[in-house]
Amino acid sequence: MSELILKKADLTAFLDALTGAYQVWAPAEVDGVVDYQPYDPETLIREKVRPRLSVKKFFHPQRENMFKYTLDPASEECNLMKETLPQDKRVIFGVSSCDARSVVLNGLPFCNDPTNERKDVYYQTRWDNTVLIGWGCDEPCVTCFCHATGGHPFGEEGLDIILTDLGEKFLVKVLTDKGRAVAGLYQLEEAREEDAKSAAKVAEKARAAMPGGLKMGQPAGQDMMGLYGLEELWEEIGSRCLNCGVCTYLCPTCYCFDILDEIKGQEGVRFRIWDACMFPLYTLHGTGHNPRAAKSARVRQRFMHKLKYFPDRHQKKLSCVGCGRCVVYCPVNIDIREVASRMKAS
Amino acid sequence: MDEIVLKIRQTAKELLSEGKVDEVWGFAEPSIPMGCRPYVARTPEDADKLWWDSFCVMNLANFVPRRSDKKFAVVAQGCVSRNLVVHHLEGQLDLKEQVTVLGVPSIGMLDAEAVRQAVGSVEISEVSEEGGKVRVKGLGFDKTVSRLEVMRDSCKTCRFHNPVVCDIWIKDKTADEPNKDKNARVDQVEALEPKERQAFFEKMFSRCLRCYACRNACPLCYCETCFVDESKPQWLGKSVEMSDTLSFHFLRAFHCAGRCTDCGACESACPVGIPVRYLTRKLEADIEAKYGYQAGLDLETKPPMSVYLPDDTDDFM
Repeated sequence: MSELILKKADLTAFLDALTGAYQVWAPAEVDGVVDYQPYDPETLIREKVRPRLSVKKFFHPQRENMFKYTLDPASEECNLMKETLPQDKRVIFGVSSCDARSVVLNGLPFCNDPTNERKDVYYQTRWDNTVLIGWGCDEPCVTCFCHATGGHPFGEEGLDIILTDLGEKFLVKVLTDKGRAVAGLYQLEEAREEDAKSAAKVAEKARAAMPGGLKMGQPAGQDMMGLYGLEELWEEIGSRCLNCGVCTYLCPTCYCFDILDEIKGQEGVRFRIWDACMFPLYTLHGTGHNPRAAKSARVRQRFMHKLKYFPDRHQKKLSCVGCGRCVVYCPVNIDIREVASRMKAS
Repeated sequence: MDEIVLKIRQTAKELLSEGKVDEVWGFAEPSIPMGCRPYVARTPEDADKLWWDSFCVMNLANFVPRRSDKKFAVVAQGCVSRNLVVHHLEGQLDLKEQVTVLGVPSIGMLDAEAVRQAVGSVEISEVSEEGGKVRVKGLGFDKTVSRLEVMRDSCKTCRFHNPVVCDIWIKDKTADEPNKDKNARVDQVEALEPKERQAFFEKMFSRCLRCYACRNACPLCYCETCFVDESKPQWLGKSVEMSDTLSFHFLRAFHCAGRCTDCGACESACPVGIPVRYLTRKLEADIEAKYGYQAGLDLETKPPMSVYLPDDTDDFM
């Protein structure tokens, strides 16, 4: 695929050129919180940032309407579930490599499960209709650890285009056909060989700046009951865990959901919403029995899922991309890096 | 090492080795700057892990055992002690028999979100304090701000810095400010027309994720099953529709009326920086105006919403 040059001075002109064919989203600050917002040249953040929420919301939104139906007996379509598919074509600008990788990882259970040929039509449609323009992380965040989860600050997995900051300009590396279609909407000059070389140096330097010694992959492959037996660990974390949804909702790779119906008058919608294994209701049975009644059991589940069950099922890949959001925003400082290093079955 | 940390460790060690308590609830050193890690020490060795700094903002009254036979000590500032009193009044624990309060009079705790705003970055690698200054280092910056600039709003408006009940003082008492005006937020909202108020709250809560960190960080929210989690029947919609989100926050705030000590744990826990105390402050102000009551100041007076008196305000009937 091609390598092009985008002058920083032309950044908004480039994004403006995409707005006809796509909804464009980019990081902006609203009330002190940086998040992906509808693109506006006035509020666009022109430096590399880690938005508070990940790109998960573009593929697995907090609320996804799945079907609509009518209960009106006079209607020919009474009681028929009609699929509602998202149609928007979107470009997300400024995506980190970790976030992009999460889209592929979540794609495993939703669309590419080894034991299930069916694809989740909602996730797949959004995936097909979304173009991710990445911005490599030349300075890793303080709490980042993508390298310890199988990623790289300039990783290309899941991205359609990746930008490398070369000072006054970006090296634009086009990675997919979707990316080529977007890059084709604006006149970009070809990169010279020395630009590509400088970009490679930036990526190498960023990788070298990542901290060493993390063992995120350690729990995978270990004996499940042995990990369950780490009572001191689960009890200690459980004693302070609030059982809120901060970690799961900010996490790019937590994808659990609940399915509900809402009916107003005769019109109904069936939708799915984010759910979290931290919530007691998540596992509550119809009988009233809850197999994960204790906080420690719920918090254990989250780490077992991300670091043990998911890799065991999906080609040893962790359900964690090392973005560090949970590390920063957990109100009681439950740090997944520390938990992973302590998950060692005796 | 900080004198407060040493005194907490030493006191905890004594209490645990003498068998006076089963547990000491405090904080451990966090893994990141501005982190807050509640911790329970059960052995004299555990006591060496106890920690204290200006970011220990979770309310420990939310973590201690309720309705149990355990004896325990708790590190407490003014607000935490008041929440222990509320627990006592609501029959959740016996403050006189069960609890040893280790009092840490507060000079105002700091707000991680305010620090991020002040330095314009979330990438913070080191935070240190000296005198009234906070030095913040991070990716490409090294800034010093005043303590007051990054103090939690709930601490700026706090009247009772000293624990109202205390068994062992970890540091010297400071002066309380019982007459401090703390109604700025209430006045701000009340000056708005009803439509403006609605817009004000809708904007504020539009980024709420329904993660329930505010509720779960609150020492008052100890219902076995919260009304939002009821499923048979389901009382409230579970998605992030504005009416559902607002109903959750409004109803939760009403449930805290006359019990809330304005400790600010809800705001500190919010991952998207929503100032949820705008709601609880209004109810706290109303309870004070109508009943002359402030929650958790003494061990005898029950919260007004949990008792009936013949001379209760009833002009709404």
